[in-house]
Amino acid sequence: MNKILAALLAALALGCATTETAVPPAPPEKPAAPPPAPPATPAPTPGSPPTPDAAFRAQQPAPLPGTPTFDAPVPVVKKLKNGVEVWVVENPAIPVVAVEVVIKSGVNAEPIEKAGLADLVVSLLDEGTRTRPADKLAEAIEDLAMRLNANAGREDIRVHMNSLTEALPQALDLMADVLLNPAFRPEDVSRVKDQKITDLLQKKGVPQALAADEMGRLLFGAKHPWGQPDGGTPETIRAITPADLQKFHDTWFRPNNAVVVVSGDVKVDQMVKMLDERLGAWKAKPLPKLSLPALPDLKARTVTFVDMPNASQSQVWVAGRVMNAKSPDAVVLRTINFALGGMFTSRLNMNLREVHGYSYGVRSAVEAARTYGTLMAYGGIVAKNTSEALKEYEDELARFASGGITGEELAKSKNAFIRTMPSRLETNDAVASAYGTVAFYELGPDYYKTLPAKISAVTPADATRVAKVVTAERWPVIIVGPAQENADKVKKLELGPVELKAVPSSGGGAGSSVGVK
Amino acid sequence: MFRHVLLMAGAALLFALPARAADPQIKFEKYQMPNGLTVILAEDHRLPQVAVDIWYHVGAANQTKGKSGFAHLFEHMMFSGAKHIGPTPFKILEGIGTTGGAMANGTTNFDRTNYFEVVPSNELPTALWMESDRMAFLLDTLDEKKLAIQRNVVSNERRQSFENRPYGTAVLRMMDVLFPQPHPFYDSTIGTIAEIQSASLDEIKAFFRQFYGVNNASLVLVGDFQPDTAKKLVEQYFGPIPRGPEVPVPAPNQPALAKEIRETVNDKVAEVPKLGIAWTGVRAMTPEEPAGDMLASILGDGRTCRLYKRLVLEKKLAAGVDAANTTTRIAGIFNVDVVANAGFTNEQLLPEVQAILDDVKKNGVTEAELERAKRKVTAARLREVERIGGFGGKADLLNAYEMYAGDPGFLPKDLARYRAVTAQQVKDFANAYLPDDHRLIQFVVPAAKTAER
Repeated sequence: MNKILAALLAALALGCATTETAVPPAPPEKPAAPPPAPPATPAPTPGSPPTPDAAFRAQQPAPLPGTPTFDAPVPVVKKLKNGVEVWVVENPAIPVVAVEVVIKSGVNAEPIEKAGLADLVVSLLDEGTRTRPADKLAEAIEDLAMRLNANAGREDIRVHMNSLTEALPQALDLMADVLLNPAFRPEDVSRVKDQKITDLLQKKGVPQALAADEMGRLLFGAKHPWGQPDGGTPETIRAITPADLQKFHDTWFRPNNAVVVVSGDVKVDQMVKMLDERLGAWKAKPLPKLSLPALPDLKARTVTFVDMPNASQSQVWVAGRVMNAKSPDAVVLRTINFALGGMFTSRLNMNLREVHGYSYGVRSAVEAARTYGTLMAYGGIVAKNTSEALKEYEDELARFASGGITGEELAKSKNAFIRTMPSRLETNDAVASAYGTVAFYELGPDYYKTLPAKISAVTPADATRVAKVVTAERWPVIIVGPAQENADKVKKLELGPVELKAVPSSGGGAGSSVGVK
Repeated sequence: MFRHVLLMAGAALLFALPARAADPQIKFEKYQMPNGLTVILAEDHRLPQVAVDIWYHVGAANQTKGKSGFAHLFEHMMFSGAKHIGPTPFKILEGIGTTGGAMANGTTNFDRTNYFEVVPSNELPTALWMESDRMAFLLDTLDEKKLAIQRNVVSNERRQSFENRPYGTAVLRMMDVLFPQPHPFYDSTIGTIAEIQSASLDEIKAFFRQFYGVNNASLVLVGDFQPDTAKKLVEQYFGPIPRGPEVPVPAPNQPALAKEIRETVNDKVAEVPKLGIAWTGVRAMTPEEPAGDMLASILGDGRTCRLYKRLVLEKKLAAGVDAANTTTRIAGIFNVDVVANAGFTNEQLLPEVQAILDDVKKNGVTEAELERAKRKVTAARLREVERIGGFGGKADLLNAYEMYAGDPGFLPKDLARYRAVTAQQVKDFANAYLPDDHRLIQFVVPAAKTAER
């Protein structure tokens, strides 16, 4: 592709433009320190005369009149003839249409000895259907310049499609074929399994992925599907057969286990008609009931230290379980998390990065999902400061839990949450995915429309009450970094028993860093 | 005429495909202020936000010998504060509700450095106040201490993003072979740690005075603003900044490879081998550029490309493939990458890749392949204009066309360049620019397994 555009997208490894690397840390400074006194104006230099100073530059300017308001779109909800719920947002601004199909089962439906099954199923959906071999299917998809991808999460699977409006009927044909008729041919299964095993091997050097795997095991339990390494292990991948894939698909890819969300340049009725025509053959079937082990009680605190001897940084994570998305408190926690670790000027980042210089950035993230919730504080720490940094995490989490946040922090958190919403719903892809989540969590089609009012209504008392869910004194600590210089110092913090582990030799580590969003 | 050629060429394929939609259009207004600042305004009232995007026309291409990584190091200094805004621009941005690296950031490439933020529409004054302060009053607070911190931050960035990332070292080595010193691309945009650490305060200040003049920048606003108000604000904050020195566009500087070079690169982080082949390429906006892009797409994009079909689908030797036609104002690179599946070696990959290259040079590409590559370009541009700014989006597209073509409205002409490409031109490009006897072949191997290569 044209590299002018590629450079814009800043995806080229030759550039330096990932979010992480492009944001330079500001210099450490004491929080209460006054701004430095302005030095004398520098002497004029050839070719670059100074700009005359002016009074209006001294202060941050007032905003323009009027308050910008964002009216989030409210999808129209319809039903297909076979019962599938369809949510549609009409958006004629750009001639593209995004479609997100949510299958309401994911990793939770995997047997643990076949961990990685859901991921393998979605990876093989577009590797050939009953009527289209893998190469012909790829050609058909790319001839339309459409995008089609699928992901497996803990509770759900997402099949996402983006098409130019002009090619929508053909794109929907292909999407429906991939959704309903994947072939799972042995030669394709074998090839994709080899690629997955190569990917798993490559993950041994990725500390975030190893930390995410430990987090899953500790929060959800070693016997629970969510406690397995993300994407499985080479052993579990090898154990998966084409029949396993077919069975998973046949069991869970059912209209009574799905919802379809559409956003783009299309009319509601036209969209429903097109979907009815293509998904009509999709037949409902009763779903088996999952019997999953109970999630472990987080009572006795543990420190898990995965030794990466040569790492220049340690990943330091503290994570626990919190309320799910249905709880009204989820909005409160997501709001006040901005002050804990959800933005640059949050407590964790200012402490660990600005005051102490231990890190290029420490964050906290809340995931309030359909049946579970997590809160994690995480960051990469200069290796030699691992234990000192962990002590600061502990202090910040305890201070947050016991005292909530200040009125000023609450105001800033609300502002950040409300004002980033338009960007988070800017593209049709983003809208389809966001409402896919809302539909799956059963939060109602007016969720985003009413969310700003709910955020605004959070009181200091709410903040103080909900902050107490952070019971970090019982939550697991995960460190991935060099143990030799740090393990003893971590033990001296006396947070709990310290378990020292080696990096899994088979590359059983996790895939993408779950929860680092 | 070009369209006619295309329709003829693609007729067989188009038979089964839908009609093409109209090209995306971006309405904009461009003017230049007396001090030389180029201003481009594009209203877009879909969201209550404005994307502010400043491009300074300075990148790695402007660096001199011994100053690798300078443009990028300087980008970091722009986040260290200025006279009136104080030491932390991010605090100001979060104060107005602009949170997160996707909404506010800076990037450096070979040709330019950019700074952007997406702000609530009523906070446009604060964004312009901040950007004008770091354009006009940066040096007032830039001191040795700030520079020392950023020298270390950038050195760590090199360690993290290249030395400790699979295949990152090989990318730097490729640049060193294709662009030996004193070429400014030596060690890519990131630079060598020794040279980053040797950057002095005086040199950094001189770099700013030379390249960060108001007349070497273009300011793009896209979003929910009233043009009269925006113009007044731009005039208020940027109008008083005096013109700086003229910055000539760097002259073309494309070294040639004298022969085929074969090298083994030991990678401490990678777990499987990677084969890389690189050639010197063509510059941005040259007549050959679109054909090169089409060739890269046909060789290495998606799951229909030739490398994927042969190495991943048929032979099952590889886990991933890529090809790129990288073009800048002074030089270009064409390269092909294949990551092996576990258990296979670069020696098994090379003959397969060579066969693909030989075939393209001898027999060219098919009309179906070319048409597919063209459709991908058009669709990518359309999707790009869905966002107002951030990384990419309309704002960066306008700035890019302004810098590379002198015309923010170049989009339809750009697409026309691609539609005009013929299969013969793609074949000619392969023969002209991908010679076997002037190229770099990199055998990247996991460090502990060097013996197997």
